[in-house]
This record gives sequence, structure tokens and C-alpha cells, in this order.
Amino acid sequence: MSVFFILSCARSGSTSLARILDGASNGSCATEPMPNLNVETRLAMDGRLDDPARVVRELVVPRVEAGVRAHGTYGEKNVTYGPFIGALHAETGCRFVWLTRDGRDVVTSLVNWHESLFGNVYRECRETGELSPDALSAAMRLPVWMDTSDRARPRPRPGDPLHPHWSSLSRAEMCAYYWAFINELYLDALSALPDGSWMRLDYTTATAADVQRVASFCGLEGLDSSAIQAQLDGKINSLADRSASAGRYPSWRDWDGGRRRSFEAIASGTMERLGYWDEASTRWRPPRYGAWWAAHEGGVTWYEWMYDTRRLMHEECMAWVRGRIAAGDAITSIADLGCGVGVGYAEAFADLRYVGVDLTRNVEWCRANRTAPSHAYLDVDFIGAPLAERCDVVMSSGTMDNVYDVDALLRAMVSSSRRWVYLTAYRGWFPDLDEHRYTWSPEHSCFYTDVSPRRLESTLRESGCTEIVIEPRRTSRSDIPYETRVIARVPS
Amino acid sequence: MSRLRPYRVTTGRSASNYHEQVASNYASTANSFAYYTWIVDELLAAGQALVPVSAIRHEPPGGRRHSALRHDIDADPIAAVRCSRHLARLGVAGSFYLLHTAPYYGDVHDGVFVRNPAVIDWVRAMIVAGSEIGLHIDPFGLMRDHGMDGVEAVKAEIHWLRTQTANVTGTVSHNSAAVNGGAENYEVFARHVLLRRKVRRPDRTVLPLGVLQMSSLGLDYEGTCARPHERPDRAAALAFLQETSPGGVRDAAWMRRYLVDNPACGWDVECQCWLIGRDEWVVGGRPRGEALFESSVSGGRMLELVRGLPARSRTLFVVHPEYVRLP
Repeated sequence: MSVFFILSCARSGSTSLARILDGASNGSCATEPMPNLNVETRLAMDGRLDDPARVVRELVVPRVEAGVRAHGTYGEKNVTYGPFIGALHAETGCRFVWLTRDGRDVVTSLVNWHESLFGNVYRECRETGELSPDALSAAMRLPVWMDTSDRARPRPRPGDPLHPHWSSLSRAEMCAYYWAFINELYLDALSALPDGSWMRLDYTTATAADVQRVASFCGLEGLDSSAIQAQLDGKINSLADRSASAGRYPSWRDWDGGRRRSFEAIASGTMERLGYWDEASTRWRPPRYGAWWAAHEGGVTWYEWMYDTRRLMHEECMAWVRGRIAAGDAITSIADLGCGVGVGYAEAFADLRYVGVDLTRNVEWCRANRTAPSHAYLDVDFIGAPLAERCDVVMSSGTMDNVYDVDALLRAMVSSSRRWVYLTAYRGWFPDLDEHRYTWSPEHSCFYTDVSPRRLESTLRESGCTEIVIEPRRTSRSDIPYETRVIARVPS
Repeated sequence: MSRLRPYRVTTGRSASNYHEQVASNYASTANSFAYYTWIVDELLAAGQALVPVSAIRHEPPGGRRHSALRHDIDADPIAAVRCSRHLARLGVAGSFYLLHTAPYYGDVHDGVFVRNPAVIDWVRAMIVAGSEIGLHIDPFGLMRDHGMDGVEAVKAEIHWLRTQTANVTGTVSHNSAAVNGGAENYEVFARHVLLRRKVRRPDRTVLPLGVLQMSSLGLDYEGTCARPHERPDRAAALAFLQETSPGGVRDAAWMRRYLVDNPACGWDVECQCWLIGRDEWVVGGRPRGEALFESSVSGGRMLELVRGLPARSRTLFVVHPEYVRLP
């Protein structure tokens, strides 16, 4: 038999791939044929199914044999095959295509699926959700005892650390659990199969060439690459495809700090195992982060304008450093993260060791134009790669508002400092925020973040800092009357 | 009827300390929520097929014993939502009935029944949890307590729940004839009049029996599961309906007559299990045609009795969520 199965968790593109592959000239690919094992997969995941192979033999193999007889090569897509992978392989000699998608995108898609269309994703969740009339109506039409789709999703079993907390989780957290659980299940089961019996495709960035490789792996022929690309671009089975709506639940780029931490707590291990994350500090860096700044031709004039706009804040920083020195603090070196082209600071700290860190273009300019012998300029991602050289003060003026992870920035600064960290946030003073409020700007390829003083303090305390001062500072401007200033002594 | 004020209704204010009052009222009788989950787990482990109340009257498929979890939301809609969500986690059916005369639902101000807008949130929560939703009807209570047109109230509240997307196909009658002065609330429906008679309230107004047609209201079932006797002992039935019971569900003698030897009605289920307090149940019915009645039994004993029921038997569990409201 020439048989393949497409595996994925929901909202990962498997319906799109199945429809594309179904256009092959020598085979077919069924989308969620019945019985779809919704009930059986939950029983298996709950440890209440004694013989998965029997389920496969009785419910799947007959239609697979019929499919092969009718089409030559036959495939199926279902999101419920995790517990049956070994049995499917043993019974049919099949190949598997495992589709993955960044878990954060899956979470957003699932929550929007719930709120916009069906209202039945983890129905027990403490949050009803901001349901559209269509979603509420759909939920009403499908009572829970008939809803095998939601029943098919895994729930933590007794003994799982999440089990006692399940009823208090948000829907996004439940979806994160779903994504992590199902993909771990797939990976564990596939890893036990012989080499060559499965392949993985990340549908987040899939191209027509990728799909052609999948088709070839499955023994399918006759697919046209331009038609595949058109289908990929058409976003088959996306929310927009199904409802002409983008959904209200935000993309992960706009998650606040709380949503980020919740996702990390549940899914970070799987994100790392699947290669979506490597370093903890750069988890939230979008692919094009900083591209606009790297390409922008503002020059020195632009940085001087920015400096003048916040002159008071800069002067306060310099005065604070001088004050510490005057008070006997042995400050001889300063690192300035996000130094731009060193406007103001290079001159003010001419007598100190000054290490400016910024993008390549700015660093090159500084190396050519800022020639103080005790000064150095580095073009590193200071969050992802903390400085090798520890300085007495690590400062950052008006940069934390634009970074991809404010708390990671703080931790990087603390680890690079011998004595103090000093930061200002130019977007204002937000004492009521419990979490940093991130807003991604696709246009400027950076974040515009309102920072939470409470969260800043929490992160600094967790990093061992003392003498923490987080306060509003007057700007003498009407548009932003106060900025946020952060000063903390780092652990020795 | 002519002396009744028209049923005027709007949606508006909420009771500010209502839930604190509920907490106080049920402090000594409520169970933990874990008690509820234990009962449900045990029923599933015992092989009970849990069906919605709307389906309990039908023949159980395949000879399995089947049961319905009926939640009469007399006082605590928040606990009800919690129950609903727990059942959703398990993927099993539960039926929930909102009491339109309860303070959480609304109350009367200057002759207008003012709904609590939070009811909308609770209804939506139970819809998303996938539960069966219906109205816990109390037309005679509304007449008694507020002198308002209870019949119109039933019609209006069923309609309103439907405008909130709830697919209301059934009702459950609140209280009993013992409280209502001689008639069950479900007797407002023509199909469910137990005896043709006139029932007068103390103020001489006549209770409107049989004035509503369930079919014209789009209703399929009355979840009390009572049915008129084909050949009732009229005298005995009237006497029972006019009997008062100060102890209500905690009056063992009255409950036995109500569930097992009711001269006024029969039941579409073989057994009923009522949670009436802290680990306290009343079990009654006529499985195999023989009387079964135990009052003030523990959950363990109740489950033992349920496990002993014959194949194909139908059991109605009556849970007031306020009895499982503790953390």
C-alpha cells in the first residue's frame, strides 16, 4: 500500500496541506474522514483505551484499503492520530507528514477560532470569551455531550502538575497546553519509528517547494508549483478564509508580559524541542526585529534631535553618575545599551571607560568619529549576548521601550554590571500596569512598550538587585509629562 | 386573574450583596465542589450514561442505566456555572434551570420586574460550556409573592432566554404544591394538569392551571418528570396536593409520599436522587415497580443504591448548585 497520514495539532495548516495534496494526479488525500477517532483519541490520552491497534484495524484500515484501491496512493489528515501512530505504521506501512506551527500562532488562532466561529474550544474554561453571535450560536447548537471535537483535546491527567490548576487557566493557556501536549505526543511516537518513515514541515514558512517535497515523500505526482503557491497564499481554512474576520485575540507580538509568561510556563520546553526557541533571552524577538532601524538613514542629526527632545532625562543621568562618583562610588566604566551614535554621552563621559552598544551602522560611525581612547563601541544584540566586559554602570536611555523583551533586557544589564543599572523609558510613566504592554510595529520593526513599574521591580528583585528606585521623572513636556526612571544596585 | 398586575419587566440593576447572603445561608449545608466532582466521577465509573434531562424520558439505548443531572439554580448561579464547566471538562451532559423568581435573576421594583444583567453572562457561560439550559418556572410563586402575572412571566422569560441564544426546549417546576397552595407550578401547562379542579389562593384568586400549551411555546419537556396518573384516586390526590409540608425536602415522610407513593402524579423515571445538604441525599422511586426510599443517606450510600438499580432504569439527580458551592 502507498499510504500516508498528515499529523498536526489543530490550526497548524493541515487542512490546507491536505487539500493541496488531494490535487495530485495519482492519489488522493482525505480531510478528516469519519470516524475521526475523536472519542478514541481522548480515551487513549486519558489512559482508558486498552488496544489502540484494534481501533486502527477496525476503524481506519478498511477505509485506507478502499482508498488505495480507488486512488493508488491514499492519505488522510486528522488531528487525532497522536496515540495511534505506532499502530497506523504497523498496520499500513504508512509514511507520516508532521506539520508544525509556532505554538504562539496556534494559540492565537485557536482562541480566535473559539471567539469568532465555534465557541467550543476548551468549553470548561473560566473565560467565556468575547464571542461573536455566530460563535455563541454555534456553541448552543452543539451541546457538550455531542461535541466530540472539544472532547478530543487533551486535559491534564491526575499527577500532571497542571491538573489541579486546570480550571483556573485562561483559554490561551489551555491552548498552549494543547499545542505542547499534542506535538510532544507526535514527536515521541515518530521518534520510535524507522528512519525515513516520517518528515516534518513547518507550515509557518512553507513554500511551494516545501510542499512539493512533501508530495514526493508521499509518492504523489502532478502538483503544479504555481497552483500550490496560490493555495498557500489563499490561507485555506484560516479565520479570514472562513469568516472574513481577523479575530480579536492578538498576535503574540502584541501579547503583554503576563500572556508571555503564561505561555512560557506551559510551552517553553516544547518550543525549544521543536526549535522555535533557542536562547531564553531571545524568545520574543520577531524575525525582522530591528530591520527598520538598521536601514534608517537618520544620521547624526536625527540622533541629536532625539537627544534634544529628552535632554533633561539625559542630563539627569549624567548628573546621577557624577553624583555617585562624588559620593565615593568607584565608578570608572559605563556601558550604554542602545547608545545610538553616542550623542551627549561620549562627551560627558570622556574621562571614563565608555562602551556604547548599538546597531552595526551606528557602531561603525562611532568607531570612525568618536575617538576617545577609553571608549569602545560594540554591535551586539545586548539582550541575546550580554557583554563580556562588565562595567560599573550599565545604562540604557529610551531603549527599553523598543526592545523585544524588557525583562530580558533588565537581566542582561544586571549580569553585565558590577555596581548599578540605570534606565529610562521615554514613553511615559504607567503606574497602573501590572504587565508590560507590548505593541509590535511592523512598520518600524520594533516594539512600542509601556513598561510596568511593578514588573520592573519584580524582575530586578528576582535578579538580586537592591536599592531599587523606580519613579516618574518630570520631562517639562506636555505630551509626555513624566518618564520612567529605574535605578538599582546589582548584586556583587 | 383580573386582580393581578401585568408582568412588566426590564433588565437593569443587580443585588449588591446577594452572594454574601447565599454564602451565609448555605454555610452549614453546602458541600465542597470536590464533592460534586466525586459524585460525577463515581456515576461515570459506575457506567451510568449521563444524558440531558430532555432525553431522560426516552428508553435507554443498549440496556444501560442512564441518568440525568438536573441543576435547579435556586440560589447560586456562580456555582451552577462551575458545575457546568466541570461537566464540559468531562464532555458529559448536564441540564441547568434558571429560577426566574430568584433574587439573582431579578426582583420587583415599583411594579416592574428588573432582571439582573449578570444573568446574561451566566447564560452565555453555560452555553459555551455546552449545557442544556431551561427555565425553572415559578408562575404561582410570582403571583403569591408579588401579585404579578406569573403566566406571562414564564412566557416572557423563555422568550428572553432565547434572545440570549439559549435553546430553551424545556422547563423544570420550582417548589411544590405544598408551597404553592395546592398546585404544582408545572400545572400551568395543559399537558401537565394533574387533576381538573379550581385552586384558589388565600386572596380568592384562582391559580391559572392548564393555560399554557407547551408546543406553542416551543417546549418539548417538563423536567420535573411528573405525569398525571391515568386513573388517579381523586380524593387522595387532592388531599396530597393541599397538604402543607413545613419540612419540604427534609421531611422524610412527605418526601416518601412525593417520590414513591404520590397519589397526584407518577414519574417518567424509575428513581430520583435529591441532594439536600452536606453529604445528605434522599433517594426514592419505584425501580422494578417496588418502592425504594431512603432519606438522609450519605453520597456513598446513594451511589450504592444507584449501582443496584436494574438495567435500563432511568435516574434523575436533582442538584441545587448552592449545595456544592464551597471551594
